[in-house]
Amino acid sequence: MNTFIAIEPERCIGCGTCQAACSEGHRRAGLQAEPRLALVYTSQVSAAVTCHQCEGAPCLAVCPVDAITRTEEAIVVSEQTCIGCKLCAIVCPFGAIHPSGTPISGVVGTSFATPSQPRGTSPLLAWDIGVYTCAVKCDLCSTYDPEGGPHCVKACPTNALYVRDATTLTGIRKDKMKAAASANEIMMSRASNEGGTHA
Amino acid sequence: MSCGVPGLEDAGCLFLFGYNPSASHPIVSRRIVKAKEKGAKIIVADPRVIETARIADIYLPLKNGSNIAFLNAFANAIVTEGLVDKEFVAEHTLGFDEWWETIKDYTPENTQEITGIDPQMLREAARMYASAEPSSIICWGMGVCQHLQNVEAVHACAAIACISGQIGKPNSGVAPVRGQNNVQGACDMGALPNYFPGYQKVTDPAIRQKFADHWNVPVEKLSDHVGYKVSDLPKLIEEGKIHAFYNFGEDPLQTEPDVPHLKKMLEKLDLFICQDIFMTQTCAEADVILPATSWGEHEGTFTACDRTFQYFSQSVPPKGECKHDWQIFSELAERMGYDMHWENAEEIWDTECREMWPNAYGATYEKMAGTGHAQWPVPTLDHPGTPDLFLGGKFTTPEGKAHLIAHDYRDPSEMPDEEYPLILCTVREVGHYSCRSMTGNCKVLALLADEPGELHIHPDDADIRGIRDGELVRAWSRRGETMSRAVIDERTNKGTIYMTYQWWIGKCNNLTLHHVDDRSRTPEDKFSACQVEALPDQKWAEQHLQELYSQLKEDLAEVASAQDIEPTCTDAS
Repeated sequence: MNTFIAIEPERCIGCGTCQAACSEGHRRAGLQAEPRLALVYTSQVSAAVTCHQCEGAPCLAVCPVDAITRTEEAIVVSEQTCIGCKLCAIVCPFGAIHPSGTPISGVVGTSFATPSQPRGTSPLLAWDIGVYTCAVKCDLCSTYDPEGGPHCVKACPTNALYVRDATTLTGIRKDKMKAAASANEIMMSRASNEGGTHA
Repeated sequence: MSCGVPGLEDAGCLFLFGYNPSASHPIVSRRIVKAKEKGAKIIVADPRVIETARIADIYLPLKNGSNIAFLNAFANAIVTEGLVDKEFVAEHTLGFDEWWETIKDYTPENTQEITGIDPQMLREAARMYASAEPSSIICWGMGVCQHLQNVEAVHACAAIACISGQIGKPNSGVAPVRGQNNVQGACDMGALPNYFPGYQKVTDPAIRQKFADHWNVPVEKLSDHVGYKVSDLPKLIEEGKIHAFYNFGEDPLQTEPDVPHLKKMLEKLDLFICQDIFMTQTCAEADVILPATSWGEHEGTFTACDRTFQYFSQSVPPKGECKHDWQIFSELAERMGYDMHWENAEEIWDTECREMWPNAYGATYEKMAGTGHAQWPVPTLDHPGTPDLFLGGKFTTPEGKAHLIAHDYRDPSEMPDEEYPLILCTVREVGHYSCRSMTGNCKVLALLADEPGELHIHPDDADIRGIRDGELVRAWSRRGETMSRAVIDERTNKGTIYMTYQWWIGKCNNLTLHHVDDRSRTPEDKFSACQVEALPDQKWAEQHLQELYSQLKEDLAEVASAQDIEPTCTDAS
């Protein structure tokens, strides 16, 4: 089954440490520094939104150049193969893929970035002079640090992020079933107690 | 704090008042999440829906600037709901009747117009706080301290803890969580105008004699009166009372209110010395720059807000001309004719802190080695440290009892009007620390948040101004103007904008009012009037922003380049 990262919003304090860890890990491996997970704040919820590594991954299905592949661990993008067409970003039901590129500011002749549109522009439409983009998505850190596990999960100061894989989900399902079974028991015994008082 | 930070987890109720731990102190926030999971009740009073408000049992969205009205009403509710701990009040406090003379007029009902809080909800919160078992803690941050009535609000919080008996037992009382890293340590060491190290008063002749003997100077050489406070600097320069300013580890042209005026005043100084680890905008104005070492280049101690001393070690040697702060100070002292000589940080700790301050005597480097720590008061070598103060209701006043003090509510200094209809409240941002001289130089943090920062605005306020999410906007006040990036935020209350204070281009302190309270001289950073407008040409604005930012970076690099000494080949001859 597919392994993915889940979040408990009650524990999330919106600090962004997960994003910093994600960015730093990928940057050090020579990949795009853009964080793979997004933080979403509404008046009710703060939560990191990340890739679900879908079994029927639509991103993988639509990629015209096979830059997205399924490995043992995750659905991963090859930044070298990607042509920046953004189809994967459009079909992703979670908004968990977006394009990112390395700005050319600092390179010969350009001391600073020259923005060509408002920052509010959708990342799917935004472009920057001289910047070639590729898709970035969560690879569970499997492409550069499979042993170190997803860095975001380890970095979270409130343990709000979890790796959900076959083992943990089986355990959780068993716990849920046990809880359901004991709830049954309570209902039954309450019924018999009530019966007792009436008698 | 009257309790330890770990103790937050074991309280029955946490009342967060003007404190946003998720942005200011994620590590404290983690304790609050754990407390909630252990069953603590959480009450949050804040104009914004802060992170903790989402998990609060009661969230009280009070109006900006209404603190004293709110706290008085909260205290009033505790009394009128019959929740006063009469025994504690009788045995451990003074002045209840006089206090009640003021508080009795502030009912939850008749303060509703000022605070915006539903009286029933306020009463319910007061019941939850006062009756919680085994204890309640009031936590506050800059939402109390950076208002006009800041000292008054601290009096009010302390009185609330006393009348409900929620102080004087483990994991209870008052938790002012400090605004800056190691500000507790700076205060402990006497970096205040009124104290020597260990809160020993400069106005006390016996204390002066003690320090004069220790430092081997005539007692007349030690000042016998309380000195100036940094927030009065521009005023005192203007009045001709200050001619020289030695600034270290601070970037006032970023962090002080009304920067345009402060900058003019700094230019009037005869001598301006800056000691820092990075070239800041303030350093760029200095006559003399003394390069100091950063946290990885020296050892020392930090003191957490709960009085815990923690040791940190040096990991790399200083670079170039940089010296430790204490080396710079002692070399300056030597040149001024005073023999100040130390070998290392531990010697300073032992002779200047432990020897002179009885409450810190037991805090040896040995005790703090590794991940160890020592929490003052720790008076003897085998003392375990003191997480909880005032146990058994024993207070540190001459009478050993708490003084209950009440104050009447006053409006903030600059109320919004037609011309400046929005309230500007400056807040903290989780990814960047203070003036950003350190975190701004960290690649990852700069990637997550960069110039010109954010201006959080309610959807309705944005709508009537034609401002769209993510666009650059202009904000201005009676003091000055700035450019920022609008974030349309449904957690923000209508009529107020929130900006963080570390952005060079998006500098909110160009707008803030320099008004300080009479007692603590803390600026009213949480409340001033301003206006915001959309910028019609976003493409121009984005490019202009980049130009301004690059220019400023180039200017600072230019000033810093004075220290780039050409490598010379000594063997050439």
